[in-house]
Amino acid sequence: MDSKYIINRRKALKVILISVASFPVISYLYHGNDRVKEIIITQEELYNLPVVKQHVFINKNVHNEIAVYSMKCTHLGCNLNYDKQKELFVCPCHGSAFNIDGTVIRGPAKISLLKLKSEFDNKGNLIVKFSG
Amino acid sequence: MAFQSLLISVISGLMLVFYYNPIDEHFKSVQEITYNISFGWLIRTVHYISSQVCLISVIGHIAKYGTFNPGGTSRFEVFKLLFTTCLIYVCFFLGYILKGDQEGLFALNISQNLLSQIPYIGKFLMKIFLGDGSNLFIYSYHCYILPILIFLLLKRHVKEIRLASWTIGGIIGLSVFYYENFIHLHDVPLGVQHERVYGPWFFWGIQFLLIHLEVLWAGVIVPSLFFVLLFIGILLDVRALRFCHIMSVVYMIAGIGFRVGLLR
Repeated sequence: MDSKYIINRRKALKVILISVASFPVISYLYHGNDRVKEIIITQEELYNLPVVKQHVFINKNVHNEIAVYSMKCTHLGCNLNYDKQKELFVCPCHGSAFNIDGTVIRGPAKISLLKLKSEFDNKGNLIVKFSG
Repeated sequence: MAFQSLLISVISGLMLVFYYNPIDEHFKSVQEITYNISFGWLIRTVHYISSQVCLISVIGHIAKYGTFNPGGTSRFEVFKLLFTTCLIYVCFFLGYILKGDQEGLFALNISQNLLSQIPYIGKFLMKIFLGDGSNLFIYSYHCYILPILIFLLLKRHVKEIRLASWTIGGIIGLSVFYYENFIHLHDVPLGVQHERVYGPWFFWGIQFLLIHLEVLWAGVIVPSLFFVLLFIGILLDVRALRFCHIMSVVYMIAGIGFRVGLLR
């Protein structure tokens, strides 16, 4: 009986049982939604730009529009330090540097900073929503 | 000594569980344990120091016995033990994240991004092992799953369980010394800008590599090549194992050089 098959019935049953049982366990662990963060910037804060609030950088761009950048390094996600005098962001983990318009000055990061979507509510406050 | 310090670490860790808040404001609860609760500072530093002593003495243990293979330990057993060592290191790293300060937060972000860099299965692995941004997954791995796994895997290796008084005394003494002199260096408060943030000491080498290499190479391919070589070395060929020993010494020296500032 043993010579005919590679694995016997008991082993096969075991493998099937384990794979069937592991499916709900893995999907249980895999569940989980990305949390959406919301930051409100009041009108008073908008008067003296640039503003750094909860790792979000708000500034006016060349066309005098409000631009919102995430202050997470695009290399591996450390929070950037904002250097007011030199007007640049420096990553404390691996040393990447960014301009205040989000472009990369120095590696290892390659992608420029993430631009976040923002909108005004009816009171004139700026609301920034992003995941993570 | 490695196992004794592991035991002390587990005991002090069990005491920390009562006050640690895994859902939110981790750093606040850690600060409260350290500064408000009576003898919380001692329990916390004992937990930290004993785990450090455990990590270092495991390295010593491997350096002493790992190369000669005395007593005819089977290769599968050695394989299992090295896997356990990796788990102990992972457990320490998760504890570093659970600290909840800026270093911990960065470590979480970096490990999430590194894991998601792995092609095809990265996102899946990240969600299963690190959760969805809260520290709850890491908390349950660090406090329940990994310690139980480590003890189950060590069951056949450890002949007798004992706690020598000199180990307890030594660790408590070291912890008090550490608290008195270095506790202000231990935490990096949230919201404060620091010029440079370093990972735990066994990740200094990888941090150095990450500056100079692509993320996929430095964070995924080089470490996994090392581990593949290590496990091949144990199961098939001793020469690969010797190469791994030399590589890890080079890695540690490079890491220390990076931390001290000789390598940039």
